[in-house]
Amino acid sequence: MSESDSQGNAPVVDDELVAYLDGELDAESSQRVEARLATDPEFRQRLRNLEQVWDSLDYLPRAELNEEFTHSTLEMVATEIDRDVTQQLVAAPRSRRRRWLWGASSVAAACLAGFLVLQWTLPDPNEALVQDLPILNRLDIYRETGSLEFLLELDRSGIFTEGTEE
Amino acid sequence: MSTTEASAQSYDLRDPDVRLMLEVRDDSASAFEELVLRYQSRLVAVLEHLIGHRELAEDLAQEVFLRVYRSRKSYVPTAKFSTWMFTIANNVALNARRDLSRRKEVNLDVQDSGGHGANPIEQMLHVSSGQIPARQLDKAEVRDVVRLAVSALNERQRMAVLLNKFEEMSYADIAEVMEMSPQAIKSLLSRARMNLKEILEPYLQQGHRPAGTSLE
Repeated sequence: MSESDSQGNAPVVDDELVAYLDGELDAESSQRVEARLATDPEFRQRLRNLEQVWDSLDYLPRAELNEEFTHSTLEMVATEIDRDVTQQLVAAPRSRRRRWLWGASSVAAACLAGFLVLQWTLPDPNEALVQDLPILNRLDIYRETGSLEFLLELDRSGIFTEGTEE
Repeated sequence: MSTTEASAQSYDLRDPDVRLMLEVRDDSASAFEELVLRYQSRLVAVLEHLIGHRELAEDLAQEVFLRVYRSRKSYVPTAKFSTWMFTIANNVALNARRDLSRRKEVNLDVQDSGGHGANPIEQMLHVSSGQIPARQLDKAEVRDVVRLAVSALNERQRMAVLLNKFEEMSYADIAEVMEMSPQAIKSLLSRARMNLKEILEPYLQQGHRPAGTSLE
């Protein structure tokens, strides 16, 4: 390695060399590395050592799998599919129940809304009774007069409401 | 046509595995079987060296295939199929390692096997006694030493190296799998290769076996 590399540029140089070996450098950087390789024997040696180490990784064993593994993988996935189907079947009554509850809730809500509308729009029969309460209380006395005309005249004069306004 | 649709169509045309996955999306069992056959060994190889356990790697590979199948209906090809699948594998492996370290049932990490708390790479660089300089390197021993050197890398370096070496993935694809930038992958791989060089170079050139590897 050159002196400048040993003074802190080594990681950059290593990055470049490794990327060069991996074919990941752009054309300009590749040319720069190649120019240095042509003139710097130490740099060339560094590259060779890196290559040698990288090639030694070919000694790592590669897994060889038999049909048994393939079958067990496919079986596992098939079991998973079965489980999904079962879960869907188990979930089906629950979803029906949910639909029924939703329907029932909708009907109840509609009923409540209808009731409120009727309450608001139709006249209350109790209201008329409350209005006639002073007459009802003295109905027997009024019957004794025997004249509806006379009673209506008294009502117009306000005599019946005098007592209730106190 | 939107950008996503355009890129989906381009991956569809370029990558036969994407076409298979689109058939899986349409519930083709034979297409799924074909994908399993194409990827099972590749997937287990990466996971085995990433996790350090063959049996666990096989279980995780099956988990990956299961996730691939489960997500078939929402699959949109926005990358090569292998990139998409190894992204799932990376997440599955990360979760598995998190679970393992949480439960502390099995300590798979070679970094902890040195025991004295020193940097694992430094530990390995202590040349074991009784070595024979420049001896003929035995193939099985080279395999063990290389395996040990790879397991001494940190998790992210190891994943990047495995994808780069085994899957011949570009920096851009590794970046996508590991959710990092291509520039960060460039630095990550550079550091990883320097670490490997530190451990393996003395062994490969002078036969200095790093500590922690046993003679068979």
